[in-house]
Amino acid sequence: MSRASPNNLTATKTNTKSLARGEHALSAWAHHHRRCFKDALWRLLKRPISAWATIVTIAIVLALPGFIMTLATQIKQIGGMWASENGQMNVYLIPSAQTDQIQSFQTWLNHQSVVRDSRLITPQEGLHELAKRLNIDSLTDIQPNPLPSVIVVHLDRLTGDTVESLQHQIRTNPLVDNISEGGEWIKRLQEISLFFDRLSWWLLGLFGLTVIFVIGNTLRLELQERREELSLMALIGGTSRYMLRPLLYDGAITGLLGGMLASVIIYGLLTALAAPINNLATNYGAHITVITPLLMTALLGIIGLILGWFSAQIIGRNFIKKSVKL
Amino acid sequence: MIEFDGVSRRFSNGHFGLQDVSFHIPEGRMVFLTGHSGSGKSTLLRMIPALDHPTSGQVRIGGHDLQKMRHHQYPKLRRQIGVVFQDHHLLPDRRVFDNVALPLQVSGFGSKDIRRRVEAALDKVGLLARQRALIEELSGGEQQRVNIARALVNRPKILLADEPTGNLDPELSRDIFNQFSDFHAVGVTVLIASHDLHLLKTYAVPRIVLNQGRLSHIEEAF
Repeated sequence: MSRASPNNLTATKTNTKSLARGEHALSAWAHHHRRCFKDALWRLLKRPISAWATIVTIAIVLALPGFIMTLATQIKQIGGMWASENGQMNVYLIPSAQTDQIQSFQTWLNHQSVVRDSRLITPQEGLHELAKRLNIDSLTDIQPNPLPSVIVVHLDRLTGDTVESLQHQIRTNPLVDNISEGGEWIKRLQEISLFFDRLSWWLLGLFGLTVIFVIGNTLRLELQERREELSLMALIGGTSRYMLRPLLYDGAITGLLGGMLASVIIYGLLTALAAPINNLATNYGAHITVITPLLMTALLGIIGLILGWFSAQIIGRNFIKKSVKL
Repeated sequence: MIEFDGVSRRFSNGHFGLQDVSFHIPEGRMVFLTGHSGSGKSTLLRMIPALDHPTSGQVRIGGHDLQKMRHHQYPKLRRQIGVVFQDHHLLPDRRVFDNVALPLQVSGFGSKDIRRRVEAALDKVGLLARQRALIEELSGGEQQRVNIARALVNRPKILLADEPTGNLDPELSRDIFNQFSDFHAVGVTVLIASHDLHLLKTYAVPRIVLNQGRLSHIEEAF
């Protein structure tokens, strides 16, 4: 055995680099992505029962927060529409309020974004209305008139926050003696909607974790079966990214299909519940527009895809690190 | 090309797989690695593509100290090394062509290059006509030839073989060894671990002899 120091590895490294720079490398990369995609679909078809069991589980897990989220949107819509149709607030002014002060206050009110319009009821008009409503004509002769000037404010598409903010601004005005709590019901409705909204996001977070575990468990079983293949990949120079790629496709496609199926379940539930929901909405003078299935499918599909991809990243990296000699 | 300098490998149970092994194989040489079962041949071979690491000493491949290499550099090193195992390590659910193409796909070759190179490699081992066959349809000898084609398709600088003829009859074994000699003839550095002394003696090739993890002696070519 003679001593020698040839440096072939350096030379071949340069070759690999130049290859990687070329368009062949790009086309090979794209080819590998296409192949991973096809293989992932093929694996789904090859084991339809286990694959679809996972997909259906994901769909059910994602359907619940999705359904609650849709309900929250409907409640918001009902609140907004009802506010638009009927929402009003009565602002009672102090007896010493002057006409020009009242007019400028009313102008300010009309400029608020959540105010559709307002109407001033003077003490005389108020007394006349009261006398008419009570059917007591002599009521108009009361002196001095005990009623204050009142501005009836019609609200437009409110949320709980904007009602509260407007009420606070009105209350702090020195011309205002008191206001009726006309927007209180909207606030309650919005609070219910907010509760459902938050609940759905929490559930989505919680169930999202469940999806990650469900997909992760399926992938772990698959990885056990492919352990030898992965070891071989490592032996012939496969990078961890290369080995991980097929798994990412598996996770993402499973998640995507699960999310899309979840949207079908939600749409089915909404269709089944459409009649009672619409009756309820009609009672509040509102009309429900159900979120379009296409949008819902896309949204849940993307959520499923991201969760599946994320799960594959965690499980795959961990498995390759622990089980494959890199 | 392959340099071991005082290499020892101690396992977690305290047993030494290798103990103070030093040798140097220059570029383009063919060398046999012999010794009884458990003498450390496989441990030594696994260190060359950095599948195992010494507990002390240095392994240098092409002048590069493997212990100073980072993990992300190993794939590039391994693409320069073809490995043939006794138990094939083939993917049984794929066709012959796909198995041989694996190292090229991993290295990022385009599909035209892959086809050209795989067909050339299969032609070299006499399996071009069986490229569409599934691995499980092949005999043991054919599977080993697929294994060799896969090890060589990437045109590696080093070819390692661990008991490549362990399961084969003498005639097939000779055929396989002749193929290794052919690759050595075109400049590939070849290191073959085998305990088939009868077969090894028919080749004028230097031998590194291991005994219980230690380098017993080096026999120069005769």
